[in-house]
Amino acid sequence: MMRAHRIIGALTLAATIACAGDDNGASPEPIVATGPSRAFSLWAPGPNDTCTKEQHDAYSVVGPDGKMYPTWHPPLDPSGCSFGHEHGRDPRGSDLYGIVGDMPLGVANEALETWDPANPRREDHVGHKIDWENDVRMKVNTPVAEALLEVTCDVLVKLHQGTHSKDAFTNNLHEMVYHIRCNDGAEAHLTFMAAIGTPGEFVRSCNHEQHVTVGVATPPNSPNGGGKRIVPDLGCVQQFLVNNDGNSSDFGTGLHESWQTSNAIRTADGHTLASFDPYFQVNFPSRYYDPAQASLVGRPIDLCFLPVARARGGACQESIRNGATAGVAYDDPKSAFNGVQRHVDINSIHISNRNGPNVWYTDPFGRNGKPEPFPGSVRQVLSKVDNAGLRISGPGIGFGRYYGGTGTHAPN
Amino acid sequence: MLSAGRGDLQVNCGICRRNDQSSWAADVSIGGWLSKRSTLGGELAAWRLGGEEATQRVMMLSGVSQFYPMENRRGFAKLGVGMMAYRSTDGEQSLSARSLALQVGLGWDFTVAERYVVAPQVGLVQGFNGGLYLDDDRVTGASQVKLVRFGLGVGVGR
Repeated sequence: MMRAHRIIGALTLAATIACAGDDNGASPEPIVATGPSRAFSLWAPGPNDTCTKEQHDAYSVVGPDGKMYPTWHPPLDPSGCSFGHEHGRDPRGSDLYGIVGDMPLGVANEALETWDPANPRREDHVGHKIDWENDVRMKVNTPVAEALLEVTCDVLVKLHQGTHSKDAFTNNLHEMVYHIRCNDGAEAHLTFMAAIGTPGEFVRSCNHEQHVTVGVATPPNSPNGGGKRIVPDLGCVQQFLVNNDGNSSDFGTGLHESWQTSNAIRTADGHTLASFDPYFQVNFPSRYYDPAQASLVGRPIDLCFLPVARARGGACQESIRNGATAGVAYDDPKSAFNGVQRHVDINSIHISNRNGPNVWYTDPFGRNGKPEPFPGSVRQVLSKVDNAGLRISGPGIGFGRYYGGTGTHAPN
Repeated sequence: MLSAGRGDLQVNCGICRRNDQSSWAADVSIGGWLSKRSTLGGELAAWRLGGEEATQRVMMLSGVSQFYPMENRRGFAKLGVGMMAYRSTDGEQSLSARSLALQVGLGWDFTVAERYVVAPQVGLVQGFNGGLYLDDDRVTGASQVKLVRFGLGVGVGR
């Protein structure tokens, strides 16, 4: 009987996720397509891409607001052409895909256009990156329960994490989609603009205590967020990539990007419904901060071609084949500095929603949550649980996976 | 009757690890004869396992009855119903459950003196509860606590 109750509860929450209905999904309203979102049809092929815009725009889905959004597509179309960019792991393999379906990219950005029309945050298409893992064994950080209890979760996350442009040097608002379902009853399906660190600045990849102020963020009223965006700069790449005495460069210290988020979904009265802090890691981005450049962007691939002291080994070796390849541009598919190698540290997840409802509507930042929708709100779904006691946290996922394909290149 | 022996504990729930834990168990029971073939009494039983991270214990208070189905044989079947409390604690926090417990068992009375018996016995206790609690917070769905006991009892015979 209890199992039957659980199944019914799970089905109810699944229906709640899938529909635009009320609290418990009891009166689902069919979503009617009303037109394109601002995120739709942003991408156009460049000189290294062989797919057409029409082929790309065919990968679309109607979002919860009725607008048309781009969605995940493979780096290579089944017809064989290349889009030149990738969006991470194919979400259709996730156990959560059955209840969340195709993921619309840019829903929270779109809501912000209504919530605060004077201060939009528009993100490019290629930066949307998905990762997931099924049956992730979580750590129970309560010693007395750790030996007896074992929590596993299905996790499906998406962050807009562009690592090819100057965007993240100042901009701390990036759309995040966070789906998790655990065997202890904790479940969350959240979409919001994550405020990652302080707007207008980033933290250096080779010194996590040093903040580099760059300029004004977009939008200028971006809120401060927890966590930090760790991004390489000229000093780091000089120290750890170029000055190597003929040895292989230390790409891990000098060039690695780590976007360490700290997120909360809150009600209007300030109660934290959910808190979670995944870290998004990128091994070989195609940019670093170079204040000497008018664009503020330096290209790691260029460091492989410096005349004397230069970056060596690793991605350089892969890109220039020991000098056999000359003059590789940053957006050449031969460059291994393309932002394809990533992983996500799941870290902690805490839900405090014992008294419900299952559906909350928040502003685009995940704040001011109310049971009823309001202009510019985003729908959030949470199970009616409080899993604070077990203090669960998850491991890293996505190590060693390569999400690119033939022809994938920066900007990616 | 005083009994001591081993007990294998298993706590089952949706997020419980599937592992048996073995340790010492003991119980004391008192009662009287209802008829030539049956007794009725009360039993207090305990099981305890110490560990580096936590100490676990089970306490159980039951009403028990023993049936002797064969007139000239001292084999008996044991049935009981009562309350079982499971608790695991590291001194700072505790994981606990209170269960309705049912027990069944088999044994044999060997007369060793005029009025004294030694009784090897084996039994299963199954507890049913609404979930495990971490301090005051329920952290699992419905769970079961299962204790399999093997022991030797010493007591007063008929």
